[in-house]
Amino acid sequence: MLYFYLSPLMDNSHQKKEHKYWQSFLAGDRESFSWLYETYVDEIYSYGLRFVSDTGLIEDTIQDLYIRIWNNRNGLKIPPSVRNYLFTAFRNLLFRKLSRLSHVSTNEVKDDNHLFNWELPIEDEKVRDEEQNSRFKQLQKLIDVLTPHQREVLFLKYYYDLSYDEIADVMGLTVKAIYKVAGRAMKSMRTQWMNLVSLIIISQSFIW
Amino acid sequence: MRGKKDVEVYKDFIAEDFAQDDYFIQSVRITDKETVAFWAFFLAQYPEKSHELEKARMMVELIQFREHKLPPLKKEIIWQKISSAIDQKRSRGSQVIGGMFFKYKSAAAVIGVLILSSIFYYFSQTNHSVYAAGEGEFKEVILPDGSRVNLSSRSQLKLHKDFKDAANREVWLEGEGYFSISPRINKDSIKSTFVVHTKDLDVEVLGTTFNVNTRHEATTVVLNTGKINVKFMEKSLKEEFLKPGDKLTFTEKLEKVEIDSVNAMDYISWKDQKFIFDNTSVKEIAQKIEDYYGYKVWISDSSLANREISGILTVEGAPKLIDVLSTLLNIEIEQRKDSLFFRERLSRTTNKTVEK
Repeated sequence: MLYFYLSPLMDNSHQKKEHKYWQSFLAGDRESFSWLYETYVDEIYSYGLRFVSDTGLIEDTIQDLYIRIWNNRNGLKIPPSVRNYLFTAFRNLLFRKLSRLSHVSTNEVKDDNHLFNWELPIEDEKVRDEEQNSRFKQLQKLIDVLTPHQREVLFLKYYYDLSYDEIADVMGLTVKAIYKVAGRAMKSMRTQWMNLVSLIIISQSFIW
Repeated sequence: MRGKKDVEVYKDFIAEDFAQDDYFIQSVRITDKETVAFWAFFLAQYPEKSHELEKARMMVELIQFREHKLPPLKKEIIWQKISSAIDQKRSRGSQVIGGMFFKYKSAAAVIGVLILSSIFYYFSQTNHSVYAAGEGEFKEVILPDGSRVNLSSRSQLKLHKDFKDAANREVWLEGEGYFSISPRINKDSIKSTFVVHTKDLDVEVLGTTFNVNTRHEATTVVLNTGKINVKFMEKSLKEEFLKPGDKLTFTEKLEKVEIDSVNAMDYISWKDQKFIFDNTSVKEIAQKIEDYYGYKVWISDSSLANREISGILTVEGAPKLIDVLSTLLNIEIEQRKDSLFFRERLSRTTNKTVEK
C-alpha cells in the first residue's frame, strides 16, 4: 500500500513561535521557560493520564521534567518540534519512574507492556438514550480489543495531530513500525466497527 | 496542498488507508474550498470510491478521546515548585568572599537546612552573635563565612564570635531556618564542616542543601540536595546519612527516628514568603500559623481539622492570611487575644455579608 507524508496540521507560525521561545529559554530566560510550561503542560498531563490514573505521579513527573530541562539546558539543541520533544522526554521519564515502582509492586507496568487507556468522551452521557448508551458500551468494548500501542498511536495521531515521524520519535519506534501499528489498528477498526459505525452515523450525510 | 494530478495517488485506497492519510484527516477536520474541490474531483474520477470515503470519514470522526484537564490550581502549584527548585539551584553558583585563612570554592555547593522546634535551645555562652526574626518576619542573613540563612518568623540563630576562624563552623538554631552553606577548605586543606546544633540533634553538612525544623516536639530535617549526616544527643541512636528528598523526623519523647521521602520544596517555600498547600490539612495549616505568628489555634471539630486544601498564598502578615483562609475554607475565624478559633460557618450566616 502506498503511504506518503504530508506536513501535519500544525501551522508554521506556531512552530516559529515555539522555536523563538525555546531559543531564549536556552539562553536562560525565565519568561520563555514559563511560556513553555503554560503552553504544553495541559497536553502533557492529559497524555500522562492515559498511562496511569495516579495524578500525583504525573504531577511529580511534570515537575521533574521541567526542572531537568532547565538544569540541562546548556546541553540541549533546538528540536524540530518543541511540543514533540516535551512529549518524548515526559514519556521516557514517566516510564523510568514506573519501572522503578514496579520493583516494589509487581503489578505495575513496564515500558513494552504499558497500558494505554482509551476512554470515550463523557460530555453527552446525560443526554444519551438507552440505545445510544448500549452502542457506546459496544464501542468501548471494541476499543478494548486494540493493543496499548495501537491506542497510543491513534491517540497521538488523531487527538494530538502528530505526524507519523513524530509519533515514531515519541514512542521510540521506527516510522515503518508506526505505520504498521496504525495500519493494523485501522484494519481492526474497519472490520469490527463498521456495522456499529453505520448505525451510529446513519443520519449524517456525506457532503463532499 | 494537493493538486488535481494527485488524485491518482488515492485510486487504490480503501477506507482505512484514507483514514490514515494526513490530507484526508485534515479534510475531515477542516472543511475548506480547496479540500472539497479536491475530493469532488477525486470522486468524479473514481465514483466507485464514494463508499470507502464515507467509511473513512466515519472512522476518523469516531476516534475520540475523553478530555482530561489539569486543574488550574494544580498547574500553578506545580509551577511554583518548579520555580523554587530552579531558584534553589541558581543560588548554588553564588560566589563567596575569601577569608584570611580559608580558600573558598567559587562553584560552591550550597546547603539548605530547615529547623523547627518548640523547646528552645539555651545558650550558656555570652560570647556570641545573635540573628533573630520577629513575629511575621522572614529574614535573610549572610554569615561571616558567606553562607546564607533564611530565618523564618519567630526564629533565631546564634554563633560564636570566632565562628569564622574556627576549624569547624558551628551555629545554634531555635525555630526554623533554611541554610545555604558555602563549602570551605581550611589552611591544612581539610574540608571545614558546618554543624547546625538543635536541642536534640546536630546536622553536619557535607556539601548540600537542607532544611531543619525544630519548632515542634518532633525535629525535622529535610534535605534538598547533596549529603548531610545527622547525629543525635541521645547516644544510643546511631547517626543517619540523608539523601536528597529525605525527611528525617526525630520525636524526642519517643526517641524515634523516621525517614520518609518527600518533596523538599513543600518544606522550604516559606523562605520566599509563600505557603504552598498541596492537599494540606487545616490542622497542618494551623500549626504553621502557630509557628509563624505565635497564635494559639483552636479548631472546632475534627472533620474541619482534617479538611485538605491546595493553593499558594503569599505571606503578607497574619491578618491577611486569616482573611484569605476564612474565605478559602468558608469558615469563621474569630480572634480573641492570642487565640484563633476556627469553626464551620453556620448555614444561616453563610449569606451574611462579610466585611473586608
